[in-house]
Amino acid sequence: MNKTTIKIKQICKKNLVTREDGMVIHNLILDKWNKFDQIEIDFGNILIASVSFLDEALGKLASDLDVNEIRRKIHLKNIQDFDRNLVNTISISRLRQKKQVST
Amino acid sequence: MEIVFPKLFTTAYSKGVLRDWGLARLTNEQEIVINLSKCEFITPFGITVLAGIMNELLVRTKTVSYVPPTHRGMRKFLTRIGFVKFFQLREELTQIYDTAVQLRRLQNLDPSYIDQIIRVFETNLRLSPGVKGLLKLSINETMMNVFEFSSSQLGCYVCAQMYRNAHQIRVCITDFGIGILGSLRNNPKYAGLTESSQAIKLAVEEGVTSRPSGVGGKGLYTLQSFLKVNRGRMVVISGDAKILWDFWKGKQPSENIMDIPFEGTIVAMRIRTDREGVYVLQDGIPENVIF
Repeated sequence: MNKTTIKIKQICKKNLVTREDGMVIHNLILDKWNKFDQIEIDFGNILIASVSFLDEALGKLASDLDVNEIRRKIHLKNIQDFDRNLVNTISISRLRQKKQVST
Repeated sequence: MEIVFPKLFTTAYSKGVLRDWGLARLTNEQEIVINLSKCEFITPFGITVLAGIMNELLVRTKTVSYVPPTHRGMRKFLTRIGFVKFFQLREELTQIYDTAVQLRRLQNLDPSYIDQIIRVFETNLRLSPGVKGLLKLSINETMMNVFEFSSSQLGCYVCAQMYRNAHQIRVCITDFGIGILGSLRNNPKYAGLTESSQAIKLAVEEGVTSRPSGVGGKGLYTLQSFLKVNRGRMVVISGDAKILWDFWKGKQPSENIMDIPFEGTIVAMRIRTDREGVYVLQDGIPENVIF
């Protein structure tokens, strides 16, 4: 299995709040999407607690890509429970909005 | 002209001061007196409003006089929370009180200040991961809105305080920008909005954003969802509307109309530290979460 790791702490340093900060991660994921079977996102155990950052970095994937593909390919590592729950809350919100638009 | 602060300066007893501030902005009188002589208790909400009003008057080149509180505890508190230092007032020096986070004016997003707030509280109280997350989320989201949408020339005023016996942390962020109504109108979708109360209630709905592109609109909505589970509280004052969501009591949000519109936005939150910040995803979720 062809795997890659994106280390958020290393890439973003302290820039973990805004949409622009999150976009860096989002673009990295998209860049690697067709090149790797698995993309590991390593949060380094830091607490992010920012809707803007997490929505842009990961939530948007739920709007643009197939959910089952995301589940299969993206693996979140060293993420605090609060942030994992927040990411899922945001992603489900994205899915809900996507369904509303399509009906 | 004089602005007299009441004995308890909290969101519940703020109408008079905010009305007088509205009058002070418009008056031709050059000298404004900020009178705290009667004030015995003030919350982070009160501190940010007090500091903001004084600073805004100074920026408008008014002469601002200050009557300190006669209540000794109140005088010490103002020193501990950084108010005295903020305006370089002459008061006896008192050690910084470590259950409070110093009043600050921020002109850009400062992630290290947010982390400082968390650290101060963590040294005094065992914060559950859920409460810690909610505290950071609440400050992140509110500050993001200030710097992205408020057009506030002087940034925002932030203050936070722990109330150990009441099992609460109170946080307040105040700006003197264009208000939520003005901000939402920047999005053509909401250009027809006319009422501040309408704008505030919309702002906490899912997908509502000031961005003309329509991207976003999840911050306040998500924050409220988590506050609901925490059974916390949120008060938003902007323009002529004040709306309170009290999730502890579980009632419908209550609304008040301000005598004189407040130019800007105040977001005051109460986070319960005795509730595990357990949050529940909404109904209708897929059987397996995505991440």
